[in-house]
Amino acid sequence: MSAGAFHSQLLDPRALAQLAGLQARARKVVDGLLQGIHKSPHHGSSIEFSEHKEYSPGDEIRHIDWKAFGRLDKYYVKRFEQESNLTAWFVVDRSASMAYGRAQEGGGALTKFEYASVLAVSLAHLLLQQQDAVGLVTFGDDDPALLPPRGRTSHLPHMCKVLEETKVRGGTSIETGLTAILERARKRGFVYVLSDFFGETEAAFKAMRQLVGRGHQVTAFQVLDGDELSFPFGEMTLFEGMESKQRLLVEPRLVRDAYMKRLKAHLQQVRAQCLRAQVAYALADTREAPGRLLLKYLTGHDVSSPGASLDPDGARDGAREAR
Amino acid sequence: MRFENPWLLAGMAAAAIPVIIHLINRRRARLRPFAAMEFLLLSDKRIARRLKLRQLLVLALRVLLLVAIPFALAKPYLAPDATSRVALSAPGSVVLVVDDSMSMSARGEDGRPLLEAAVAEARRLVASGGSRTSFAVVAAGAPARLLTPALTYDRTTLERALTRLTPGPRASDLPGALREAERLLASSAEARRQVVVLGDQARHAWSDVAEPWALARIPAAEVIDVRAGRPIDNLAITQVALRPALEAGPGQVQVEVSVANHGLAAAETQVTVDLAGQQVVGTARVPPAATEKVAFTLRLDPGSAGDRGTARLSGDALPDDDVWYFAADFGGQANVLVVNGSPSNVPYQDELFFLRPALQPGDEPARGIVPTFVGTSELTRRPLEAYDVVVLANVGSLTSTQRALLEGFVEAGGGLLVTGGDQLTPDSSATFGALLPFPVRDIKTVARRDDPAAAVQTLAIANVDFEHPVMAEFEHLEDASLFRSRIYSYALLDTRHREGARVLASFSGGIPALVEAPHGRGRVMMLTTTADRDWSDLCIRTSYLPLMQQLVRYLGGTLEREGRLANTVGDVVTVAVPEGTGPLVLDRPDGAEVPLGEPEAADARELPIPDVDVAGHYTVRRAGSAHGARTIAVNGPRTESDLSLADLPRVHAALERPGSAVAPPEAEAIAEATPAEDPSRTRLWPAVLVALFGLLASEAWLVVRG
Repeated sequence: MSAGAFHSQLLDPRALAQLAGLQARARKVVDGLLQGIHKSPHHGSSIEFSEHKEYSPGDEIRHIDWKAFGRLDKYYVKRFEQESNLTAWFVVDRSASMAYGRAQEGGGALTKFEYASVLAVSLAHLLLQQQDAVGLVTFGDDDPALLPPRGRTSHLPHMCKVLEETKVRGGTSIETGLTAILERARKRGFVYVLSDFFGETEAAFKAMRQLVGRGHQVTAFQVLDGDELSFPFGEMTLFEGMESKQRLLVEPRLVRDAYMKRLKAHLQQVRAQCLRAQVAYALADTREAPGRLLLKYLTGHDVSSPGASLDPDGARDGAREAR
Repeated sequence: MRFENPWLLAGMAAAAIPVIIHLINRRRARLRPFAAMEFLLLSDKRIARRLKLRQLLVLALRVLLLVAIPFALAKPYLAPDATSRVALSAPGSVVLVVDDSMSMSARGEDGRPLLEAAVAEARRLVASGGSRTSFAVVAAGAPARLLTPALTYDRTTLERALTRLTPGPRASDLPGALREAERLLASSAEARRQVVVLGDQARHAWSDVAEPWALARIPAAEVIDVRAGRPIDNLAITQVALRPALEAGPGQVQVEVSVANHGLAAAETQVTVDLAGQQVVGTARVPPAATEKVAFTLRLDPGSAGDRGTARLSGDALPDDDVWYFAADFGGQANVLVVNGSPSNVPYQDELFFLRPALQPGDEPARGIVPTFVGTSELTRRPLEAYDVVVLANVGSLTSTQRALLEGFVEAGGGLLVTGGDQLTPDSSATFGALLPFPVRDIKTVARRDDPAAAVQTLAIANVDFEHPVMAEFEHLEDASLFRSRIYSYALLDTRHREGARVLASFSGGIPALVEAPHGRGRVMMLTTTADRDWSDLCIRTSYLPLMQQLVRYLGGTLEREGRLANTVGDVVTVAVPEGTGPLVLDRPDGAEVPLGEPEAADARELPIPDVDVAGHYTVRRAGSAHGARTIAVNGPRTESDLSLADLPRVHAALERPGSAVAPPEAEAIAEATPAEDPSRTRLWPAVLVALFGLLASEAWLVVRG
């Protein structure tokens, strides 16, 4: 098996679902991810040497490597890995609707919560490697659970344990999770919101605007299952709400168009609200490999833009191909 | 609304298919938790309602489609009802065929006899016919009668004819009435010629008519059911059988009343029998569409022969068939004592193995035959005067006592039949004496059954005296199995001259097979081969059963009086001429005395009874004397008892094909006969077809749009 195929397989959500433990899943995602990134995008003052650079006017003289000057008779400036000292908060939705996914029926893929957890832990893994602190807030419609931010790599297992032990239930109240961060985050940092954004979102975006106002960089990952994006059902089905427990007996083909129309409107609304609140937005389709999604995010692609997967028809095609 | 192909309406059952599929789908619908429920619920309730409405609409359209297809194929049309057809003011001729058979005396829903309702309807039709319509009234009770001189415009004549319609114990003669109507309309010059049949439209009335060719030249016909399709449950006495109840003591008779239930539910009724001044009451519980028998035992004094008996049921809708008149002279019934001369514990080796079922097929006595089976030792213990016939089956010899008894029995008018067998020898003749028509000379065997050459060696019955009442049954049946039976052995008779003796049948070569001789007032007969398979295979031939039954009936004297068993109003009924001298008088059930005069032939044994038009007892006696009077009972026709409704769509179909089958009545011709076009008909099926296409288009549009 070639290395490319190997990583491709590891990045596939179905392959990830075969791995036991959130940390193992995240590590595989990050391993694949780093091959695409090669080096940290951040450079600055740090105790850890990174590389030499030929001196140019304006560089600090104290960073000139005199030993190199002695050997090479040229001025070289030492460059160090930056110690950012940032704090990143992961705000993960644990409402009942996040339990939806193929894993629920033994299909082998991930639920939306599992997918969001893989995204969060993978990003946390990267951030901890560059000495940033990561914290975790999970929210439903009750009191949010909070894991304070720490910068040690040993913090990652704690985060994984919390996510793995989280019970996915109840309604959605994103603002309670964000309010918890507003009360605690004194330094500017990153805030990653991972939710399906079902239910009332006005208060959530108000809280996000406040975070942005305090200098935080907020990113919203809207995590949706392929079924939700393409509505592929055919036979007469009795649908039951996961949060509301409402039931509807319907022939899916008859309601599909109306459903897709309303979903598309909802996605556009969430994206527009993100743009208005200066929040970066990414649609996370659980059929897509988490590593690929993160790569696109880290390289600046497919964020705060409609993207192919924002289009329901495109999403439907993708679903067909996936099947 | 009517249909040209009404049977295709059964296809409407397919309309249940979409509903069943819908219900199955609902039941099999998979429960699926779904997160994005708020988008599915379509918070806009209008869309949800519209969706549900559309689903229901699609379902309704599919159901309608499946109903419309067989509906269109059944070719519906509208035809004006009978009243409106007759009530046309245009000139025309209408024959009113009014059923006045016995079933029309049944009570309708309003408690009135159905005939009253029919007459009222006929009056209404006459009144609405206008002055330019001529009418005739034909009564459809047997025999069919024209009650008006011809087609007439005179309303007074018509009213008189309708008034003459009274219910009576008649059978229905609808074919005769329709023929009469056809004859009348043939003489009419009017363009509009119609027949209206008013009656209960019971199945029995139409059973002979509901074929198109029976109505070949009736231009237009209409059927009016005066009971409006209402089912009428009815119980009827269908038979009363009398037999000596010897086991109950001397003079005892068993009266067995058969009660038929023509209703749809089980019924219980009280049965009352009056006979010889005695009355007994019992209860019959009869399942639907079944007949139950209730038996009573009464004492009948020897001198009371001819006594009148009556069996009655507690009343129901049709009272005329709740009574059965009978006479206790056992007329028409032969009590037979069958003596087994070679019994065996092995059933098929028993002498009566074949004769028993022949006289008692299906464990029920054959009509007019009441057999009793005994061994030879029983012969002297039985009171032979209780029997009409004695059969000695393979009895080889008689004791002097037995012989004396039998001689007395035959001389008194009894019948004796002797059949051959291994017990019979030439010496038997000595013990039988004159009880054998001819003495037995020898026992001959021409073939053995297991011999391969038996087929060419056996004898067969070759000559038959068809003039004899017993053998007349087989006339014109040259291929009857009687003539194909194989005879292996026989008793060779010494056919010396005996006064009145005759050979009824003989084997090839003129060897007597069946002989008869008179003895005193009775007769003796002999079958020279066996009644079982020992000497011939006659007993396994289909002719065996009628031959043996005819022999017994003939010897019992019931063959010529068989008709008396169920004398019915309207039948030609004969009665034995009473002994004595003087003019004959008939006492009718209605109390009238009718002088009959003397029989035309001095030696006549029977004379016909005129005008048997009322149910009850008829007695023929010598004027001024009751001695030797002969009583017979006559009952209403029991075919009228079943009031179940005829297959009216079929009757309508038959009536609406006037002239379609003037050709011979071949089934193929009927099947292919196309209905004559009736201008008064409004075809509906083209409109239904258009609607069908509309439904198809709507369904397709809804599905595609959905």
